[in-house]
Amino acid sequence: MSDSLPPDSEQDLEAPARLVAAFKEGARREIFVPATVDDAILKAARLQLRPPNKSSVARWPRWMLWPALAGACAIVAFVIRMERPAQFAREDLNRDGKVDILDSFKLARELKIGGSLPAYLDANGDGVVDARDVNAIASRAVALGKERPQ
Amino acid sequence: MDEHTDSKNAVDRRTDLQLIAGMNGGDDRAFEALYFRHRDWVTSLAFRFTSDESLALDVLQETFLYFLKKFPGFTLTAQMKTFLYPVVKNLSIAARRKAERHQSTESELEVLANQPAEQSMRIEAKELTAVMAGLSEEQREVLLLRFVDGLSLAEIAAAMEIPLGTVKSRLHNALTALRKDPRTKSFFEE
Repeated sequence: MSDSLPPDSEQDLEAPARLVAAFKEGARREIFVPATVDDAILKAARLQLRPPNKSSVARWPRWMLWPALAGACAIVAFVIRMERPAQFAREDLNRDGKVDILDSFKLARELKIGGSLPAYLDANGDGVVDARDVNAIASRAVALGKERPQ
Repeated sequence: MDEHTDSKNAVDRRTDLQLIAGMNGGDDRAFEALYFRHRDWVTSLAFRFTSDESLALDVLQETFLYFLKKFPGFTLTAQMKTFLYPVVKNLSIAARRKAERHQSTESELEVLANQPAEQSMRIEAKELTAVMAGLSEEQREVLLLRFVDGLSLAEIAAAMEIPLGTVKSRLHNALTALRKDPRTKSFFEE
């Protein structure tokens, strides 16, 4: 039998039965596996394979649930409050909490720049942003000034 | 996938694929059947690499723990032995290196693994073992996978992650060496 023949034939890759038996005898080694080893592996399998609880929240201790819910409500309320826009007077264009000459200056500046003016600059509520809104703000500021104690 | 009988009393007749499907569904009994079906082969293979029973048992546990962590969602795309072989080999090498004081090379591990395991071996088997010690690690590995573990050539290629042609070449060269060696040529004579 030529050693240079490529292993194209499956027959070249077969071994006689005696040789196979000798292979198996040489490799044979009975390894005793203690029951403790089996049990440890099977226990790991039970933990890994059993389906989890439907709700992870169900694993929480009951005494944690109500405080957690109360805390969540408090956080939501705080966020809502922070995001709610403060109530400003219509004439308070610069949103500094008071109506004064600075608001009329702001509007006058916007009118001078021109272009599309936002609706919140409509100080007198007539649907148009123009010089009349400047007058409305000025009047309001004067009126407020008179109301303040001297 | 073919059915196998395990070393314990074979109770579960499901194929490996069916057992894995059961495991994906949370059936730990399916794992139990699969475990006992392949336990002894894994242990034997681990001993082949480590030559140490204690280490082989450690590797047995690590192998199946590694396997379990793939669930749920594991898909078996080859024979179980093809999947397990590289796992057992790599864990065995790691276990052996950890256990020894000095670094061991893979070739050293293979030589150790091929030492005669029992005094009661027949002379023929002892001679064969001695000749095999002179083969390359790769050739020994292919011989054992083919004729001891019963893997097909394609399964060996998949397990060792080498081309099928390489498997054939190694097997051919190994058998040729055995055929030429005076100590083992009698196996090939009718």
